[in-house]
Amino acid sequence: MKGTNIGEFEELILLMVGVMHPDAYGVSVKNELMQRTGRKATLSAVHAVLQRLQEKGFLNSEFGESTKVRGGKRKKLFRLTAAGSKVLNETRQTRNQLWDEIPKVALSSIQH
Amino acid sequence: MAPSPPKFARRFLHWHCDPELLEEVEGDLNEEYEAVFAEKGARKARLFYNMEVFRFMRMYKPRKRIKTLNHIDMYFNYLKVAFRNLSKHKAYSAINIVGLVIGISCSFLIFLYVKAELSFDQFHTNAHKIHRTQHIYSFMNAQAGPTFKERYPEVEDFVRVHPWFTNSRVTLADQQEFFDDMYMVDHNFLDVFSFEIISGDRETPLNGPDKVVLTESLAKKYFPNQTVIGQSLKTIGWGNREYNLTVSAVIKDVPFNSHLQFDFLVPFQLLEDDPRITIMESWVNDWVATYLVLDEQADVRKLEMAYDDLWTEHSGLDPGDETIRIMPLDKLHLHSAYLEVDYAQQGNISQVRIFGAVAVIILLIACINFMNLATARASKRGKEVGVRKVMGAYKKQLVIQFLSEAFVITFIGGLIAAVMVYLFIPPLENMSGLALTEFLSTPLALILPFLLIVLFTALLAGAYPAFVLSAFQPAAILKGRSGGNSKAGWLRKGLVVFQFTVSVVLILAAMVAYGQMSYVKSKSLGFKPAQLISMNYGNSQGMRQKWNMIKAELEAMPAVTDVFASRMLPGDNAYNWGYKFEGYTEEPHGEGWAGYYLGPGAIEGFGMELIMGRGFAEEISSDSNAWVLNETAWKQAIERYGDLWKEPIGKRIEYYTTNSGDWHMDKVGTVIGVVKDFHHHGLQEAIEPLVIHNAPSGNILVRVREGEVQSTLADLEEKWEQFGSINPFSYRLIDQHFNRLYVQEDQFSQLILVFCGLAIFVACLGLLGLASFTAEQRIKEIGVRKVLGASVRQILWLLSLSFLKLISLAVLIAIPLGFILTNSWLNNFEYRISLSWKFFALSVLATGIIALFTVGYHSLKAAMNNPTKSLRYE
Repeated sequence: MKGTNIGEFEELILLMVGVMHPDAYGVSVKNELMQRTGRKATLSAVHAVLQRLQEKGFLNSEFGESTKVRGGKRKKLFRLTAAGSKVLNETRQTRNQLWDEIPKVALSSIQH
Repeated sequence: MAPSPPKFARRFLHWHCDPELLEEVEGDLNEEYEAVFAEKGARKARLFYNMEVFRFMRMYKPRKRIKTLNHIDMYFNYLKVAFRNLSKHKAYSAINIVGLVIGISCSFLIFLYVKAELSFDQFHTNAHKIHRTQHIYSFMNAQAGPTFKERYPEVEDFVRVHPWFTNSRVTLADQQEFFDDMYMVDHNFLDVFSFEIISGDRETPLNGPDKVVLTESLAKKYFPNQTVIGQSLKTIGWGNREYNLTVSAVIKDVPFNSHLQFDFLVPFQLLEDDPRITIMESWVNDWVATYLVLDEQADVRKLEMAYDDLWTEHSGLDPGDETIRIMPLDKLHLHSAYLEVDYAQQGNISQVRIFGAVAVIILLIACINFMNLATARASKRGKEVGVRKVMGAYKKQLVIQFLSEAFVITFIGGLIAAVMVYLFIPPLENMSGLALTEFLSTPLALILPFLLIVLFTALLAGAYPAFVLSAFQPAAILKGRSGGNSKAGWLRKGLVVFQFTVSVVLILAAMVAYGQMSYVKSKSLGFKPAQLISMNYGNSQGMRQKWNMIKAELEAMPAVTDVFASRMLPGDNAYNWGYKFEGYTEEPHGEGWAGYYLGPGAIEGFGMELIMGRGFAEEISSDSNAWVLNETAWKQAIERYGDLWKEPIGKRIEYYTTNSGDWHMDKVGTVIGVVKDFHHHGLQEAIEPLVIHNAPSGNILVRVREGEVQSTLADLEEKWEQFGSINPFSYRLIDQHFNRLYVQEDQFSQLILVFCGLAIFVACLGLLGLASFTAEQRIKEIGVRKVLGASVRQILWLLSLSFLKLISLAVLIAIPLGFILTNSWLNNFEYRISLSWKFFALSVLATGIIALFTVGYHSLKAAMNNPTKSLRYE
């Protein structure tokens, strides 16, 4: 099914939007991503992903108040949709399930 | 506070970014930009901004502004409106269509003509490598070609052509006789030139002294319904030697666009094998045409220079002016006007250019009509534009609508023009002697350029009105004001001025061309060409023996007033040889003068005037060595050889010729008369100084009484048999023979006259439309004026004045322009009319009258209108 699977970076951004509710917009998501995960992303990359997620229906958005800092341009604030939180849940469950099924031996026998 | 981000990047962002995303993206960018600025400074911040804007390109999506609409229906609506407009304004439509038909058909016909002229000699596969070499005043010696090939590796091959046996007698096995054009050519002629062999020996058709190659139509003429290959025939060549030949191959007919024109080919070897030909090895006799095949890197200039050395080396003489020209094949037809001698019919590049310009002008005038009428009527269409815009039409859609209207009209015009072209191709082919469509390989090659011209015309004519009309402000129009048309008004005036400038120049050019041609025809030629019949006897020995009998027979005919013989006819070219005048001692064999050959009684017979002395007389035997000079020659002799020559009668002239470099005296005699200058060339060329020989053979000339030329010709043909000539009866009328020198110029000026007429006609059509429109637009104003007491004459003046102003301006521009153009054309003629003020006055008057009539008709109609009619709805 096209659109219901999301990539790792998409998942991360989706999580960020959830974490930062209700202040998630381009710059803040980018900065938060940097702070929390240490991952550097360009603004346009973040925007592209936000846009894509919205098209897939995992996010919706509305314009915030305009501020001076941004040259009078309004922020576009993103929020998780039901579908968004569902897809996050599903990925989490899939991962947990897979974690549980890895035998102990496999983990302990990893040689460092 | 950070400075504002880089402008260019910002604009770039605005351009590429989806407008729905623009606000958030730009906002975020600004925020980050300020953050980076605070942290790292201006330079880094700008860099960041630029980079990010560039990276945002990843979100670029092609913009879909108009969501899907049903376009097809809209286009049908445009067409419907276009046709409604056409039928509603029939007069305008007619003016537009007639103008476009004339414009398109003229320019297409001229296009074909130009293309045919440019197609000369392009059909040879090697066309870019083949070059002709010759001197400006003479051809080539027979050794230059082989020597070039031997010495210079860049000369891949050479072909010699001996093109002088035109009208050669051919006798078939069954004694049938024909007269056709023979070329004597080197054996590789058909390898170098791409004349296609249809049957027979494809490899070596010209190797061997008994081979002959015929063209297809000649083969059919000689041997109808027979196998052609292997047939034998005889022909007469150099020194009346008979060649017995066998047909080895048949080639396709020589296309009209080849500068080489022949009916059959025989091997050059026939000349090489002939022991009587002493000039084969000579370097000083230029008697054959030579073609070189050069490789792509060959330096033509270097080869031209090299000829000097080759010549000196082989002839042992001073190089002097032994320069040759090496001319690429593709330029031969149109760019050879500087050559003084040529065996090929030349084209004229300046005529091609002039016709090209005329084609563009006519098409342009027709397009201007369309533009002017369309913009003038804009106010009528204004409401439609307003309503369409209010209903949500984009400007682009309106542009498309008006363009498609232009296309409809142009295509209607194009269809009619196609018919016209079809009808006019045959007469034009007759007139120009070119096959206008033959060289086009497929019908597509004919249709495609035609469609392109139509398409181009539609765009040219339709583009401007489309943009003017679609730019109207709907609010202004619907409120009743016209949509700010003043710019269009200026342009319209400018275009009218342009049209009339062109018209005045064209009228002037047509009149000057006509004046010059009639001057040429009427100018005293120095002899009387009318009622003179010349017959070519050919064999000069035989003629001398039978002359007394012939003369007696002819003089007995009642219509004949004079009989004489002459080698040359006016219009023939003079030959240059060495003449040693009395008092000249520097060179042993004299200086070069042009020799001319007239018979006894010819000076009187042609009607030339003697300044002093007498002409050649049959009764005086010493006259066979006597000379007559023309006036120019006499004057030059005084100048060159001193006052001695002021009394020319009785002075000695020695005549020297050479066959192979060793000059010998051919003839010596005394001057017996000086004849007033007569035009031995056309009037394009100056009269040369001539030394006239007594040559009582070649042509028999008869002057007959007026009106009896045709009947005398019949009698002459009857008598011809008993004169014992080897030639069949053929005659020339001297006036026609002389006039053929102007045929090209004559045709050219006639054609130009026709095209000028058409151009002026189209320009007037436009003016007619514009005038009727103006009158119609001001109908209410005129009504009010009449009610308030204006007379018809005042109103007429009012309406005509605006056009008269434009036309006066056009005249002011046209006069100097016309002067420059016509003057440079007249400079081609040695004897020309002067440009008198009458031409200018007449052309201005003609334009003025034509314009006044066109404008006046509608103005008068408007002025005579009853005001109650025009004002009854107010």
